Amino acid sequence: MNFLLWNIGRRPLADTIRRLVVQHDVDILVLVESNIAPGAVVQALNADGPADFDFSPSQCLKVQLYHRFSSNFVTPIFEGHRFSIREVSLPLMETFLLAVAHLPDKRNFRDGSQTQEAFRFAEEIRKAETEVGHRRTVLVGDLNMNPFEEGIVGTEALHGVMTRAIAARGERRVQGRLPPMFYNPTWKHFGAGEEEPPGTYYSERYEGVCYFWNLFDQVLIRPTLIPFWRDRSFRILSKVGDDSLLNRRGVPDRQRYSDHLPIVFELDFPQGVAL
Amino acid sequence: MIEGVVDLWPSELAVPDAENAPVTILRQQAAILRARTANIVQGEVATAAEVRYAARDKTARGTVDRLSTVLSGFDPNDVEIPTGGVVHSFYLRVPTLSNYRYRLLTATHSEEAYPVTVSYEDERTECTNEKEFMDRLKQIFGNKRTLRIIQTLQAQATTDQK
Repeated sequence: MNFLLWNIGRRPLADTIRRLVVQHDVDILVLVESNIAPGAVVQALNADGPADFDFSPSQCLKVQLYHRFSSNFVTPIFEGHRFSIREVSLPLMETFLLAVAHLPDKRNFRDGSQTQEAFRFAEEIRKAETEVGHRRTVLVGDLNMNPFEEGIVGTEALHGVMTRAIAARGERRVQGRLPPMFYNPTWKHFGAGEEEPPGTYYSERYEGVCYFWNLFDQVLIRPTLIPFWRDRSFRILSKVGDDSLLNRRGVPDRQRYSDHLPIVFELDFPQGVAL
Repeated sequence: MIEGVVDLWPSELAVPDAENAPVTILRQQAAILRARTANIVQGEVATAAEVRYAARDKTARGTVDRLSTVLSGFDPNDVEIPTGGVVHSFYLRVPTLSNYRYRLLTATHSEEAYPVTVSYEDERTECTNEKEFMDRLKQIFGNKRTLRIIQTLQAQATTDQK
């Protein structure tokens, strides 16, 4: 199952989205900062082929979720202002939780406030997992924090760790508590960029500490799903067809496209197999 | 087959090919609507047991009246009596408009598929067979009001937010 996440920066990019979805054979599309009417996106996605793509309505207006199957297979478990947690129950496939988010940005929120929101998000994910009785959870979103920041790494926050081996421990005792881990496969792509951009968002501010590239757009998976993660499938996209999403300076072209680059990845969920 | 047990059922239990049940036809049309509107307006068929309300039922009237005298707060309109029939409601559903649903028509029939009574706005039409049912659906789908509703829903769903 192929996923695509893109913060489109409120730009009218329905046709570009359609091209990306076709090019990468996307099954689940997560859009952040979209002002495009969901109906217009569905119309664009279904323009050429069978009318497979559907939209899952949500109380969380900051993230839109589209998928190549009926919205009848998607059940909201928790809906917040900045995130939404839904269970996807497809025929012949194990159900999984899909948590999508657009967490507070660095321009308007301090680091501490960002971390607090991550705490809340993590707490709601844990509650949702208890409610549905499993931890087959995929977290996708513009988290507005880099993989190494406290809101992502902290045990009471998302507890996203950088390697499969560490994540495979499942949980870690800290101060008498045992919060579950996420594996954050996005981490290794931060600054990696020879064949792909070194991040998804570029910011050059006049201050002492500057990372230039940031990797705010991430996917985290619970250790249960590690066997189904296709490492090579993860990519930060810099092109749609032959058109570059970067400008002449080699950073995201916010005039023509968005200030964020999209990411794609694949989870090869087994059919009819209990995880 | 269970060994040693006599099968008393006749050989013709399988659904005959000749006639499609109303619910089958409605579901097929729902799927077509989905495809024709690029999944913006979706047909949805919900089936429920048909009921009549005790207050309107002559045979239940006496019992209902007696209950009304002894039970405070008893409302005969709340008492549903199953009729043995089924009612299929055909909805227009728009996921991109917060799952807005509009009931376009209902098709009601007894234990047998036909005759089926189609209710659309204030009109009730009895169709005695599949052909009459299909003809009636075609009239309803082609009705100016139906078209206007579907076109409006599509326009609303595809208008960008400011």
